[in-house]
Amino acid sequence: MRKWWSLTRVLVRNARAPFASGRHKKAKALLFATLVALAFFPLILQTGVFCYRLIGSLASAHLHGLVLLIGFSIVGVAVFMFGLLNVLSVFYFAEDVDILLSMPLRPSSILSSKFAAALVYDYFIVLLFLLPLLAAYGLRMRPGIAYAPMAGLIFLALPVIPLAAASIVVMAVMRFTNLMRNRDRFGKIAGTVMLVFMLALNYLLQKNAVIPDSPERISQMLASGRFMALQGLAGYLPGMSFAVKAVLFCGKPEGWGWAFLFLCVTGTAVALFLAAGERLYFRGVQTSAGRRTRSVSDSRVSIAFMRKKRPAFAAVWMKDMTILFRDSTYFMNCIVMTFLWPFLLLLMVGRGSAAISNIFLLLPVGRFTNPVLAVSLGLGMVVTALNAIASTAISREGKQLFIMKTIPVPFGVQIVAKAAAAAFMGCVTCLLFIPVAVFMFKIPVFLLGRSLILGFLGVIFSAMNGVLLDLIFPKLNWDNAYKAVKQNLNVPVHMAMNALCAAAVYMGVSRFVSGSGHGFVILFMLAAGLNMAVFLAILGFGAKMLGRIDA
Amino acid sequence: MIRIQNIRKTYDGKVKAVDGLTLEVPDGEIVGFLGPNGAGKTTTIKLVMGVLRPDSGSITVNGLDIQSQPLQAKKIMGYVPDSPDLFLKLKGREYLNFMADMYGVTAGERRERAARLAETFELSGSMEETLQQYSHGMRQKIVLIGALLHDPEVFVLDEPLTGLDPKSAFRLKEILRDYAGRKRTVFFSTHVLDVAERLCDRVAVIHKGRLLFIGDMKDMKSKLQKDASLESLFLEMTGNA
Repeated sequence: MRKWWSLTRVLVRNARAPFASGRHKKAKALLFATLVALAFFPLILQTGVFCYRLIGSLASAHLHGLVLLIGFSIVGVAVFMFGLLNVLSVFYFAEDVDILLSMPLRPSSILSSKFAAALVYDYFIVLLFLLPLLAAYGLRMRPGIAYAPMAGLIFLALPVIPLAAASIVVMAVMRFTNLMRNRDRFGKIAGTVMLVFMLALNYLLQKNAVIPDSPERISQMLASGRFMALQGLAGYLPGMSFAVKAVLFCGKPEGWGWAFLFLCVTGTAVALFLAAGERLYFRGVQTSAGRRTRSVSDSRVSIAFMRKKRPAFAAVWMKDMTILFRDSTYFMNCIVMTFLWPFLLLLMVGRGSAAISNIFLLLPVGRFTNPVLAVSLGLGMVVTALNAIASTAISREGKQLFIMKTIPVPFGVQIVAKAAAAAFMGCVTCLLFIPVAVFMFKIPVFLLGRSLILGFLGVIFSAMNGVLLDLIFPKLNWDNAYKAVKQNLNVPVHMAMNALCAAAVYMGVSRFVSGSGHGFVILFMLAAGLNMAVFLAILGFGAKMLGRIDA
Repeated sequence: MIRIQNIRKTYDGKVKAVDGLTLEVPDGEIVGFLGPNGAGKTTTIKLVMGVLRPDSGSITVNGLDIQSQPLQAKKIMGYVPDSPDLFLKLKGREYLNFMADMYGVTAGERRERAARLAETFELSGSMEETLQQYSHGMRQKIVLIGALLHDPEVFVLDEPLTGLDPKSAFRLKEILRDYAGRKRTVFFSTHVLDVAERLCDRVAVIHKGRLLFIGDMKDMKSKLQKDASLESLFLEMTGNA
């Protein structure tokens, strides 16, 4: 047991990176944790309020158990989907199996430790969705003192079954296919599929998020089958109905009986996972470690081997772009986000499009143009910060940063080339916003050209200040690309910084130049001036900072 | 020629990695840099390459100061780092093109040199694979090819033979000898005395950031009998090897 505990702790720690390094490590970690908590608090609160109202509405018809069933099922499906990626990461991409197999450990110990490590990360999902649901149920129904231990038990046990299911699916796929041969491609496909699923789920929930306010309305919704689709999810995850009954009857011995049954099903799921794992996992992970060899004829090499000389700036830019597109972690977190934001905006405001589409037209005549231009400039800043390319430009180099210092290319050129990669993707997002601007926000076509110019200037400003920020606080000590992007404090700081800049620009325009006919010229001069200042800072201060980093 | 003069480097202001090191690597010589683990070999090499900034002292490469004329100095140097795990998402061909671009190698030169070196190290068939798919030895070879593409005047290598198969190790030694024969400078670190003995014209021994000895192997062997500290260091190194 001690061995198992030690191994699990190491596996969990290995997958986690310190949020910050260098001096003031604890303060930076605390700041990061606070930012994350602040970012997710509105979602947790919103989910809790929604559940509270829904439980209240359905309680009058004695259908409040339905909310638990739907909630548990959604959490189960979410854990299953995230579990697919978590299992891949902990079981296959960690590349620790060879060393673990050489230790005096039973296969079941290795499997159960890895399972426990994956489970720890799934509790984050559970925290986001199940905690507000259980809290809302407790506050609304007041089921008594026995509710607290029961809710705790369900909270801890609920993700086990879906994670076991996800693990078995992944192990079977990896055992009988050679998907691991190209991990990055596999990671990109799996990540994209999961993202599409989450968006579809979001859309489905938005569409069904009508709170019934009377028994007649509930009857209508039940008759329309709106609940049925969500209820159907429960059928795929065994044991969910036991968990629901355990919570519903937690004040009676019957409730604990249901809880016992739920734990039995959970235990069976773990046993099935261990049995399947011993047959599937070790063979799958070992056969996938083989290196692919492909022979290319020497003549092809000699002819097409090398291309023409390219300027250093273009070569650094191209190298960064290639890695961003090829590495599955960077692709999912930086590139996909570039294409996703316009779509997400559509999804977010889709339901209230009529009101939002006229938002600019509601402004007084003559005071319409400048706010649109200010928003365009701010949008350029924000979308570039959201793709996290600039704020991780130096961090992504990690331990190979020394290469930047050994090549005979001025630091300024290399830094600007890195900013250019972020700016390029930011400009792509701006271009993708055009249809949204025209069709959803009814922005007149005559404004588009000026909006785009300001948007691009905002993009360039954000790209350059992001790289500068990363030069000052680079996170170079990582062993997994995920840690360079997802556990990098620079990303939320850069987002907050540019959101503040965007807000300041908008407020400045509203206050001082809302009715001016020279709004574009003023904003252009402002953005160009800011860009020039940051550009000069990169060439001087930025290059000096890069020189000071001990690589 | 590499000229290192009274160089010092500390980490976090506490740990002395290099402590008043003075060393000269003349043209036409292969100089091996010996020392046990943690002696300061890699730090010295990184100082030579301009990756780290010294606390004091100076380094010149063919008369160019690495601190005040970094670009000119780096242009004439080739560097093989101690870890070949670089740009793992790039294909072999892409990596070599990137390195060639960085050093301004023309299309004709890069085509001829890359094809020849790839054939020498038997990597011609793996140019369309990403470096992630390479074994450790293959990565070591591609990094070597990348460092040789611009035909550097000064070649600096940090533990270059680690991971190479005997055939490739032999070919690398031939290349190093050829470089020295063309009056170029070769400076490489190793903790394997046998390699140093067979390949180097001179060896420099460093321990705890200080230079203990510089000379040829014959001198070293004769001095070993007189100098107790060098003898204990030698025993430590041979014990590690």
